[in-house]
Amino acid sequence: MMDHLYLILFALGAYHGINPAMGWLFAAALGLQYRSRKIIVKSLIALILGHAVAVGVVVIAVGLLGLHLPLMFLKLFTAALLLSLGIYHLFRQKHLSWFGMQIGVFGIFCWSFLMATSHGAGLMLIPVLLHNAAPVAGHAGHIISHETVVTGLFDVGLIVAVHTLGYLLMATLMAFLIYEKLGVAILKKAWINFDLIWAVTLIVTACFLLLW
Amino acid sequence: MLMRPDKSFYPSPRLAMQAPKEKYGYLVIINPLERQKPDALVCVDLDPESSTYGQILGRVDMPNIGDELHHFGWNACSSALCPNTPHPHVERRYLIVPGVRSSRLYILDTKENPYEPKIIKTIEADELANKSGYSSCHTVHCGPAGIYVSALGNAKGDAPGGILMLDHDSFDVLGQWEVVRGPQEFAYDFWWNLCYDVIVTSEWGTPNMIMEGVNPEILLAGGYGHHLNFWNLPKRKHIKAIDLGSEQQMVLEIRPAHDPSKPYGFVGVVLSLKDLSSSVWMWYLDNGEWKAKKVIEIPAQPADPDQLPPLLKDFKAVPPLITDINLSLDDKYLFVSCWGTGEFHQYDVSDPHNAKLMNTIKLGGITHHAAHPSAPEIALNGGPQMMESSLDGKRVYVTNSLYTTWDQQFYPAGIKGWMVKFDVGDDGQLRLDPDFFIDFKDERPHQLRLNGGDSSSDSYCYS
Repeated sequence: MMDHLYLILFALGAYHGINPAMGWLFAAALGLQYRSRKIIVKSLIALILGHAVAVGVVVIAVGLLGLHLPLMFLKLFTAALLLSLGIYHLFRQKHLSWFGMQIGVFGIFCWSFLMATSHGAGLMLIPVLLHNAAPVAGHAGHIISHETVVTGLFDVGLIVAVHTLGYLLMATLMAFLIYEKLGVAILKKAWINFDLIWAVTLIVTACFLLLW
Repeated sequence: MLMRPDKSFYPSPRLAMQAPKEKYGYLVIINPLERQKPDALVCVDLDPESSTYGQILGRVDMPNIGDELHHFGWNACSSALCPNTPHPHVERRYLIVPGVRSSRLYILDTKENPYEPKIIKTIEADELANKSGYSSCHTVHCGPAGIYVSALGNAKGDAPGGILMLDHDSFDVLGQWEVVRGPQEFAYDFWWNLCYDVIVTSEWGTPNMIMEGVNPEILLAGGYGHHLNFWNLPKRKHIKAIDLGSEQQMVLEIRPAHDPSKPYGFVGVVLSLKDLSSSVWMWYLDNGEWKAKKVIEIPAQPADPDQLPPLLKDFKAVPPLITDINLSLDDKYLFVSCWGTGEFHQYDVSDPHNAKLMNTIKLGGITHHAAHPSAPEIALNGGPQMMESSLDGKRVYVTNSLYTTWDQQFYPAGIKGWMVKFDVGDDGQLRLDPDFFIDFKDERPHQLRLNGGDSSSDSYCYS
């Protein structure tokens, strides 16, 4: 079960990583503008940190809620959030518009944090964690084993790290593939509507959570 | 919502130059108030293979009279591919058509019948004023945050003019774009150097200063716009105003380099009070600071006062009146309309600091009335004015009307509308297409947009 958990977390990270709208394209574009690999690496680090923090915040928040609330309530709460976010993304093509192209490393960190948050990147991990928590529910099924604060934090760290690793590998691969080999021409054909697929995924996951 | 980016979006200008040739174009047609007929959006066949090449394929009359339709634009374009504001799965589908006299905005859907788009929404002047505080919409650009529309004045027709935002899904007026306006008062055109986060805006005059025609008192006092304004695009904040000199009257069309890695652009100035010359200025980034300098100056031409309209008689000269400029997508050629002298100029601007005149072609003009080879019997009036060059840079289409009340002052006989085409050969030289001539008679063609984008519709985030 645990193996599956980490595989799914990794896969979700990789899925975020491959979406051009989640950051690698930003890193590649800045690299192309300044003809610099260094800028790509710096941007990727900022993107990864922003993504990790966005995901971490949600996992910790739900983890803490889980200490006090019944699993069923958490499930319904998460499902409601996923469903509304999915429906919103299905009908509105909203995008961030507060950031320019010259926003610096901290700006990219903030951009990445907001992009991941608005996509519900962290939220999507909750059903996986809830599902994992259920069978080992010796004590009413908590997401994070909380024998001690230290092990609790360790769990959060591991969850975020595995997810972020998926994101990191995919985003780095894509950014350098575009910069070194493919060029931006490929965007015209290859930039499929990940956001639409994501919206549907959110809704399906919410339904799954409600029915299961 | 699309599954892949709209086919007409291109990441870079270099890639956009390989786009398929335009098949048709949308053109706004203006009817002066005294004709008591509505303005229209027509669709012109621009496919040389077609049996109806150069003819009108369809026409949409506006539901009102006296809109004075101006620089319309698309709901979305290549900037949707930008990495910081990604939304490339919207369609290039709707035209946002502003009426500068009526302050109305029409939204037209081109999808079902591209030749006769359908008006799906009208934003009235009241709503525009209530939600944005602006009036007299002029130029529309699709951009990183949505749809940007310049407006010449506030709800009373005075300063300040500025930019307002429309939502690219609902076309709701979102409000004023500016957060920190600084000293800016006048508005006209705007565009950006996207990778430098800068928006550059130009200055004509307030609606009250232009509606009834050019006001000689204001003009001679240097009262029309003479600044170039620089703003931080994402922060919506005024950074700097560059005064081109109060003798430089009416700073109009803004044409940034299409290559987003190049921090420069060109802007046309209609008239210098010193000698009635017209000029093109270049803005550029120099050690982190935006600067501007004159790169082209076109002198006035001496003329017999008897041939001149009352406004110009005392000056005994025809000013060139640069009213539109356009930069080819490879940033190589700058085309310049001299609406007063009736000349169309081509410059080599590969080195933007040293513009070199390559060609001058005469058509119309206040004193020349130069004819078109396909209709040598018609003494053309008006002069080359609004223009649009194709994405591949091989064709430039030009029309001849400016603004009805101003048309009257410079061409008192009344403008007879026409549209012509220039070709840019493989040698880079501009030539007039001797066979392409559309006679609009008493109606006045203004801005043209080519299907799939053109050289003033799209902006790019990648080189």
